Amino acid sequence: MSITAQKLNFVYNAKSPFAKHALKNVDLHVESGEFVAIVGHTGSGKTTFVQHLNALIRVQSGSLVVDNHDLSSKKLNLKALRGSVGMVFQYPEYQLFADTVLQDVCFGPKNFGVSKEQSEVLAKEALALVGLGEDVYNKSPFDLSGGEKRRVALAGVLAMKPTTLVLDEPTAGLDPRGKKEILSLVKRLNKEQGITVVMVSHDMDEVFENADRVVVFKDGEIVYDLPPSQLFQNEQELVAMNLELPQMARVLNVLRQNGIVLQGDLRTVDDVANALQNLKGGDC
Amino acid sequence: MDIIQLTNVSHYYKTYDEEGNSSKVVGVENVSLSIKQGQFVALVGHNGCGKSTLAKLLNGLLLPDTGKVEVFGMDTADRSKIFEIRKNVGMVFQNPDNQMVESIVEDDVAFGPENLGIPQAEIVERVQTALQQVGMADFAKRTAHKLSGGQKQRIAIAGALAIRPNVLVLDESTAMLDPLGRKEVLGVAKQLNQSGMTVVLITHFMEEVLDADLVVVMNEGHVAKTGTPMEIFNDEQLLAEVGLQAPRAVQLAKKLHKAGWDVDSNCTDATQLGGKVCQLLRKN
Repeated sequence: MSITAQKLNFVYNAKSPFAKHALKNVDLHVESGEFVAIVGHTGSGKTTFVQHLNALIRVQSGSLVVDNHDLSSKKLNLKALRGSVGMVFQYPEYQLFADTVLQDVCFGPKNFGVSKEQSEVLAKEALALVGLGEDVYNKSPFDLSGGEKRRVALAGVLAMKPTTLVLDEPTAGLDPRGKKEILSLVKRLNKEQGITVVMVSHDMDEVFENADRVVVFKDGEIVYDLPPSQLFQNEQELVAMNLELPQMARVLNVLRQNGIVLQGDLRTVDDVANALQNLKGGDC
Repeated sequence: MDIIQLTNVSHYYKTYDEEGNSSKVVGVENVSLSIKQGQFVALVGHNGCGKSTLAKLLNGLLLPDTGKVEVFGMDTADRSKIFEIRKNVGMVFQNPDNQMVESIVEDDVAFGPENLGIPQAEIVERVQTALQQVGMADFAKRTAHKLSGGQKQRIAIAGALAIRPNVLVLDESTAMLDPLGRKEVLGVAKQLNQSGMTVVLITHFMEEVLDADLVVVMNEGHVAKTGTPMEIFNDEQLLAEVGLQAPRAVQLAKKLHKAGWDVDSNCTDATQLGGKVCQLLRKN
């Protein structure tokens, strides 16, 4: 569902010598069904912003509307909001706690008042969605691999049938295979189920290949809000912000500086290889 | 000179089922490997492949069930040599927050030499040198937990350096850091290597192994292949099998090279690759 933030401000430890202005007049609109990546150097306000989205941090000033819930209102229905905005924290596998995988995934729906039987149905659906089958239902979540644990944690959020998924560095610390699994899952949820995705990430290659739009935070402000293909043309500015450039964007930038502009929205290695091959005449 | 020598090393973990029956799980099996003085060795593989088990075998944190690990000719199974071995092989782990023992930076770095019973005057000198080596000399009196992740990890490295080891093992020490922190830590590792330190780097980031002298690919507890970075990245079958991927620029270079472009298939730098492609396109 859509998200609209207007003039959102947040100060940690306000009125103390340690006051830190973490968000400064943030304006952002995310349409329903979009895949938006949020990037920025550590301490730029990314996490503070996403924690606003399901009211873990309450609005201090400005306005924020998520899925028709007014988050600046005192009468906010927290339960309904948190049912529709699923939040996946950094290293979510640290939050697994139950004896079995199925019990762990059932925890969310049960807390929202769903019956035991029905929450098991939801849990099984969610586990199927993340590619885990019956064989893991009765296993301890702690006996699974890192990538599997993370998928169980994700299933725990999906079992609540959220319409918006907020993920804080969902692939951090995973091996390349685990990263791929999580990313293709998030992309599938976005494309097939129309779930709105807001993803914080440090991996620019990942952002370049997956996001519809990239929002760049710096010192609590949004400095860029562009599709990836346009954003990464600002090479010097991004490097100055200590952000890395996706490798394919670097190749495309060199070509552009030399007057060679490839057609189409090129993201992956294959996209670029094929476009170059077409230019030269022939298949790759 | 081979300073670390593993001969047919196996290590198993015990697991217990609900009835309390134990069974064996392979950590590493039949691993033979030698590391030479001054080498930069990268250890890669997906989660659960035995990388960390192997790392812990290098300084006797784990002992082989069968086979032998020798460090500077000393057998790690020989209990009387264990302190001497650990003085030679320093280790830094993944999570910087779990490795701080003191609240002030210089106290934290002094922890190792203090435990070895080094005289006070020499400790002061060692701490200063170690902090200089990681570029953190100005932070000696600061509070350790208020530093950034990359800085904390550099302090952890300084802590290992204060023992004056010959080998530094970094077990996914960059996994939890942001791109800047990763760059800092990797920079320190490379610099130490250039001044003669043997470095064993365990990582999931393929970009980090490009400069290694030797890459060891682990899979299911076995060494799947050892070779230079390019020997590994050229073995596409192996990469697919163990779930690893070459950096994207390397992938593109190989694709173009295969399609008959006159680009160096060993090109690792995206900007360089872009430049070469421009040259080739202009000629046509």
